[in-house]
Amino acid sequence: MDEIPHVKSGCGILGIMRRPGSEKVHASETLTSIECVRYRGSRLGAGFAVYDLERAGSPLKLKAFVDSDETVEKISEALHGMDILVEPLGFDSKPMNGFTSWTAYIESSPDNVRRAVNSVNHHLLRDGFKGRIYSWGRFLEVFKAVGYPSDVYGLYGLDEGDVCGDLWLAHTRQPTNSPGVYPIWSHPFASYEVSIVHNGDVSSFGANMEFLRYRGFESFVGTDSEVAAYTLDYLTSVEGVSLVEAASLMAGLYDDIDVAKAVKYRGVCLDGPYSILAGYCDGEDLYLLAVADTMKFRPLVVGYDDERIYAASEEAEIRSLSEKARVWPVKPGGIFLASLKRGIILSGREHVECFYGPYCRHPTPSNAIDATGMSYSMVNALLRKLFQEGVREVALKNVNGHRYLGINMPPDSRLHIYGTAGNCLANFNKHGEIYVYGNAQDDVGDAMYGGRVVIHGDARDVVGQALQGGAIFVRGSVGNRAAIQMREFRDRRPCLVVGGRADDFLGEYMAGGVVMVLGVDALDVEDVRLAGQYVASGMVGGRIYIRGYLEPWRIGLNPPAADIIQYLRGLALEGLVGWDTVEELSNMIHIMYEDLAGLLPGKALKRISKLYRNKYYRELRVNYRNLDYEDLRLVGPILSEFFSQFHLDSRLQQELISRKFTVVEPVGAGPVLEKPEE
Amino acid sequence: MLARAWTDRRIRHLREMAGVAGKSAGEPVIASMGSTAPPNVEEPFFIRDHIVCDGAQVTRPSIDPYREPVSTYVYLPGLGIRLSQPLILTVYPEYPPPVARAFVRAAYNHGLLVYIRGRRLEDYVGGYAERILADISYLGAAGGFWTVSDSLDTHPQILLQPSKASHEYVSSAGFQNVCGVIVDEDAYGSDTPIEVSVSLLDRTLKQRGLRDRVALIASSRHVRGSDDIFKLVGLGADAVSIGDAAVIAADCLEHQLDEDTIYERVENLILAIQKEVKLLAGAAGVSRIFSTLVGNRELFRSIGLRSDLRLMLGVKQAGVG
Repeated sequence: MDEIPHVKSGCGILGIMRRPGSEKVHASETLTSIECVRYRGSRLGAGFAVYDLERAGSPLKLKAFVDSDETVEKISEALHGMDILVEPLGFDSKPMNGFTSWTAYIESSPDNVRRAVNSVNHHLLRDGFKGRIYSWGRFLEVFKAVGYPSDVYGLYGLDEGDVCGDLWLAHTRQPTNSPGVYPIWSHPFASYEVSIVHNGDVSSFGANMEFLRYRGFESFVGTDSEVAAYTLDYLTSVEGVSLVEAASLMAGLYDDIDVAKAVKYRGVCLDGPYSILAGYCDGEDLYLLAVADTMKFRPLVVGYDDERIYAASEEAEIRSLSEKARVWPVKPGGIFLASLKRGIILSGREHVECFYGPYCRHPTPSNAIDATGMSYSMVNALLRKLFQEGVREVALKNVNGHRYLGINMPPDSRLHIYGTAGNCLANFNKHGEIYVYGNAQDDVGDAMYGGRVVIHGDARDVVGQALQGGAIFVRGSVGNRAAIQMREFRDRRPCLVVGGRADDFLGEYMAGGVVMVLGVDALDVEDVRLAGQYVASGMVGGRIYIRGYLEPWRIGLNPPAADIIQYLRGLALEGLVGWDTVEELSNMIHIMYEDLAGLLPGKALKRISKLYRNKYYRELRVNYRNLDYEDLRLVGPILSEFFSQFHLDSRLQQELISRKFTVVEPVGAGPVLEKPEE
Repeated sequence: MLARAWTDRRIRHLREMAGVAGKSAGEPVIASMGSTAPPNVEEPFFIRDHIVCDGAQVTRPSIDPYREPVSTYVYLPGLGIRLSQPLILTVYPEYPPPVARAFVRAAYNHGLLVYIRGRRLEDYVGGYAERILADISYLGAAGGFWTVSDSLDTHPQILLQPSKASHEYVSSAGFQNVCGVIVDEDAYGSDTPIEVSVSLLDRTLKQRGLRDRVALIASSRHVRGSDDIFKLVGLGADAVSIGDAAVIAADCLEHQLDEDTIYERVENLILAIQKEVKLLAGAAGVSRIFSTLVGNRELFRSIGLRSDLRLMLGVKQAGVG
């Protein structure tokens, strides 16, 4: 049995689709891309799914893992017994941990095959691990095994034939809830023309299984991707639900909007942390779907260039194939959908054009060290050695997802990173300056307590977590949970300045320091908000400046409006509130305490305040206002530095500080400034 | 044996939530850093005491419901009504009028239902009717939802059933008018623990394709708090009814209390239970009670239950698979 690796990570996922008029995607491209996040996986499972729209006239191709010829016979007989024509094609893989992949062409209706596959799999699992049918599409073929993606590549001989297709999914696995010693647990999982790869651990697994169990699916190997594949296939093929609607149901976006749908499809919704990629073919067109969970607990970026459309766990996967692709993260609860014929249908977030610009190439200095082909540990060992030798300025080029860079910088040192900085940049760092000419991935500056990080592109999720000293400047946008648990101590006041925008939970649990979100490229764009929702939830110190107006419902955590309305109706029955007031509020989607404060008499307000308050409640002061003298003393120097770092026009700076900001701080705990010298 | 299930710790816990004792009315009680729960620490009394919930782990982070969204609402299929949490208050016949009135107001204001059993409805309930369940013989013109013991074939109705292992009535012709079933462990003829009965009925309704138009409500005088509610919901109930737990929490039977005092205590309890349910859900990485928790037996494992019982519950043994 394989030894379970000690380094735990998240699974790596990837989707690549060709754009119309471009050449098909080769297996080698997919392998290059997924192998660049090899450290996200383990030896316990990997796989690929490939779609080809040209297979329209061909029969269904069934693929099964089998432990013996006897099992092959059993499967064939069972399929025959259910009126399915079987034309065996033989084995298409080398043996792996006691199993080999067997394939056959089959002919029958999808409904009949679905029933047969379920029945065969049920019996195979019941009789001990005899085998399993893992794919049976017309346009889709799955290759998966125990090992790294490169092992799968070899086991199926993908390197020998020039296997290519219109759409590829790939997965490298870090097993959590089901083991990985047999290939039946490897991903992708497929059902008819649906295939799924995912990174996460859904808490709804049992509820999803309950939904499927009474709709013809009774055999499960116990993996989230499998229930997701069955659910998506069931909704699209059996219920005839459109792909977008099915994705919305699975993402839980209907829950509080359409009661009938929520009840009918209870158990479809995925809960807990996940990012999911799906491939789908409706016979006419091919689709690449990407969904992020509503709390965005897993990474998911998407993008495109002239030839390809991409979705991946890490930007590095995309960059390994395309330096110039435009890349952006899917927002929390966001749905990204692209088709072969129609291109990008849903972009997974609003205002991509405005906040996620085209890739900007920075010229690299001639003495830069080339990180190509080096693992992150090699790069970090080299950096440590150079700094120990007294070198104080190092440039790295072709950085692509290398993790843990700049985590132990000596005083007065500089690190220049050209490319895409990997996860955990500048974690726990105290000294020096780090410049990133490109984007940085997740978790920049976690628990950083000094020094400076300057990112000329975007940063992804959880930038500046527990930041307690120094400064992080991001020219572009940041993802989910920026500046959470940021804190200050005496003269150590950290700051995070974002040139673009931020997603949800900005400044959650924030206890000190200053955060600014500027939207410098969106000064004249209407209807944009520079932060998502749950801003400053649980904030106890520091101050957040967000340029422009931010609706109060985006700040903190608020009770559902339906509960507030119901309580108001109760107050109306008791004669404490007029029915006209209840009527007036009934149409509001969000009802804030401040909305009620102006409307309700004291006794009624006191009663209903119980729904808003709890023992951890901390009142926030939120103002939409111009910056005053005190503000400019606090943020003026930081802003000037930000503008000079990125060579932005000082007139733009003047324009910006003349605009109104939404300023958030806890009542009685904002930043304290020293008195100016007389 | 059942009276012993109300341990001093549980009573104190309920009263602190209601604001009768302690200093944080309407808030979950911080019990201890470790577990105080049955079956290993406290003595187990019921089957649910042998059921534990899968917690969050490295790969599935817990959710902090004070700063992050956890939805507790449920829709009752068939009744077409939204409850702010999977909770129903039951007014038993012996409860004095101020208790009954406080329950009605609290249930209404908090978007729950109140089940008024075995007693004539007073005039004041008129305005509250949309949130009332009552026996058909007493409901009269007030409105609300009818509960019946045998299905009739005239009007949408909620069937009150003893807790049994067999649910063959689901196949009867009269069942087509049934929009909900209350499984009542205290009813005459009950011979099966409510956990088993609820879990079996949930699956029976699913097998017949009826689950999305029939609400399943669990009712027992021995539902002792959020843990019992959470477990019964996970076993398949859309909502769980409490009566005695609220009366014990408000400490309102032995003392003559006015309606407003009882109301305030019950309201505190409702708010505290909601927060505890959120904490339980958050600890399991569950952010939606309605779609993720109801009938999600996979979240549970059992400790020290016989295999036939586990099979009926649909709950696996802890540490195995």
